[in-house]
Amino acid sequence: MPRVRLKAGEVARELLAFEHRLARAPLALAGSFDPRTGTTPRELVSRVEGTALHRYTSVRRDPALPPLLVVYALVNRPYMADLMPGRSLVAEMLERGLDVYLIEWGEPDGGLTLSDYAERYLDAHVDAVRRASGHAAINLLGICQGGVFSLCYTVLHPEKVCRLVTTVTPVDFHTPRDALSRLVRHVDPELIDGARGVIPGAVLNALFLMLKPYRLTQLKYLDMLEHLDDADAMRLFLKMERWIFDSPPLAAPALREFLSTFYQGNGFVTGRVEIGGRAVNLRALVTPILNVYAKDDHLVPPEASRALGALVPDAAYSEYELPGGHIGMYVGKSSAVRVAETVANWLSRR
Amino acid sequence: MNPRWEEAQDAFLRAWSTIVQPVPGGTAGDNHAAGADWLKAAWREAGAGAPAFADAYRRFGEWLGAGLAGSRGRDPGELVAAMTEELKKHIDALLARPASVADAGAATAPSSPWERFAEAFGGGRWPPEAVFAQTWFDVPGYSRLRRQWQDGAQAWLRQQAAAVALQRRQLAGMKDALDRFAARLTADGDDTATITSLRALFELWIECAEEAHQAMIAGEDYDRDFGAFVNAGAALRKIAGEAVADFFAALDVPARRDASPGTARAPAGEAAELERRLQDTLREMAAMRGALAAAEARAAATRPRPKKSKKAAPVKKAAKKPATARKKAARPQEPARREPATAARGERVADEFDIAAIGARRS
Repeated sequence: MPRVRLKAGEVARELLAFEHRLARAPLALAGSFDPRTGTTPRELVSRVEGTALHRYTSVRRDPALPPLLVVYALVNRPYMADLMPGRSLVAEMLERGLDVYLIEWGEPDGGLTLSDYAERYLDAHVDAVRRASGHAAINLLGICQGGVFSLCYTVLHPEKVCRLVTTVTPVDFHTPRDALSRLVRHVDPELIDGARGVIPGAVLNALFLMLKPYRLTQLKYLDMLEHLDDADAMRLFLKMERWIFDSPPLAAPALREFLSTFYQGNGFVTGRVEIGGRAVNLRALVTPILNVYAKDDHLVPPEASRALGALVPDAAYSEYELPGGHIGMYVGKSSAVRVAETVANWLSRR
Repeated sequence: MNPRWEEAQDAFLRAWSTIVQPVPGGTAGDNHAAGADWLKAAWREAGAGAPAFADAYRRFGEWLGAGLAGSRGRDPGELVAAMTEELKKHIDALLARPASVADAGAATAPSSPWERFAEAFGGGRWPPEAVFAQTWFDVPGYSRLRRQWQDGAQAWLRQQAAAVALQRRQLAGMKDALDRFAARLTADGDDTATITSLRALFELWIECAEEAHQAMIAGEDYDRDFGAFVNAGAALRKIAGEAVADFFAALDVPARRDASPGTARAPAGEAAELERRLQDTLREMAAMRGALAAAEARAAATRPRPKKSKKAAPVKKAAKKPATARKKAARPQEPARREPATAARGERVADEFDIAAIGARRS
């Protein structure tokens, strides 16, 4: 039986409806645009050069629980975990009594290296949280590349980290399904440079699009046309578009190091990570770790994250699998609730 | 001195003399006319690749028009399958184009002036990057500028070659996507849903295209070609940047390399020291403002009240001063208001300490 059973009249109606939607789309999009980013109230705690530490306002905090410092990836903006009401991992964690801080990486200058991020800035902000909260050690939550930074930092400063949560964090960069890693395997890090030493965020965005080009550049927009009458869906679509394409520039030296150490050298697995001249060996970790990964993550395949378990034999290690993809973990309605619940329960466990 | 230079120069001159001969089979004329013809033809053909593509697009347009005109009354499944097959043929035609004379074999005679030039100069090597890489680029540059031109031209050709190699892989990936699509269109059995809308047909296409794409990027060859493409682009960008900077230097205009020392991040210790001095200065300014405001307030408080007089205007003016002083007295608090309400003074001082501590660690 042939698979295609198209009727001329129905096809004509479908095409007409499509044209109709296409004509209405600009108005619907314009009406749904909301320029605000990050909706949960927060306060500035401190600044170190171009980076900033924020504390989210909470109605109820458990004073016995050490605060949680969120460390996101350099390719994102601070609102990545606080997209909009009802789609905010931060809000969900506050709801569960966590005292949430977040590092804003800001706009880099062209000289920043990995040790600036994973050691110098992170340490300064961790110290600021410790001082502000009165806790000698705090909890860290790393997101994607931020998880890599958090792992390095915890190895170097175990006394300052009470518990560590890594979410969609790559650890083994050479797993077979890691398409992003394969794509950049033969790129010469020494040639990576840009005006004033920074690489436009759009370059990284283009690379991410290349992993699923047909879905991300065609089908997604066709899907959007199906929801023109749903104001919430349109608002979410635009927020997501901004989330995805609003990437800050990246400091070329830090990007070069990250590429050569992790994507090409698979440093965590080979034991060849050095931050600020100090070796980072995951096997030395004894800090309790919760590793959260997404089942359908195409940027960081589950096995790339789960490799952490075997590399930290002396740490109390737990992992949690969520349905969905890399981004859905933070902006999916139910995913954010599940992540927040899991993290809060794990951190509260005495 | 490059030992091959004289040989290369000789080859180049011989090639040029071949080019300026009357075109075989063409109109006889003097060397000047033949040279002019060659230049015009070279310009028009722009490397011999364009006509084939232009022709392919023209034929595709004709096919699309004919297909739409002839689609009335045809089975939609058949029509989609026919379109897919036709697209595959076009991709096959593009992929079948020789990437080099060596690929095409001796049967392919040079057809464009560029190819004739390459054949005469480079012994039949084609595309021209093979010629340039082995002869032209071995000629000594003699000066930084000419060396730069050589490097730039070489980098440009490498980037072009890398782009072509990647495009060919992508075309092959596209053909694989069409193969998968065609196979799924004609698949029988219970596990395949019948497609009854264009939207479903498009989703099937996306599914097949993504499968083919994933298969393509999973291959080691694709990664190598992609890496070569990125590297060649980055190398070209670097060389072009240096050439542009040299050009501006010749015009006595500062370029990035002149500005970079000023804009690049100072060593962390130095930055921390500057930060500390800035904070000190801000504190001093705040203290001075406070002292000034307090002095003005005191002066205003001790100033004798003027007696009531019919000449009220000057008195009123004088009375405005204490009000201004009061306003000024409030100024030192302004920076504090700009600070976040909950960033306690102790924390701010701690941050300053923090910055100094970071500087100490780095220096």
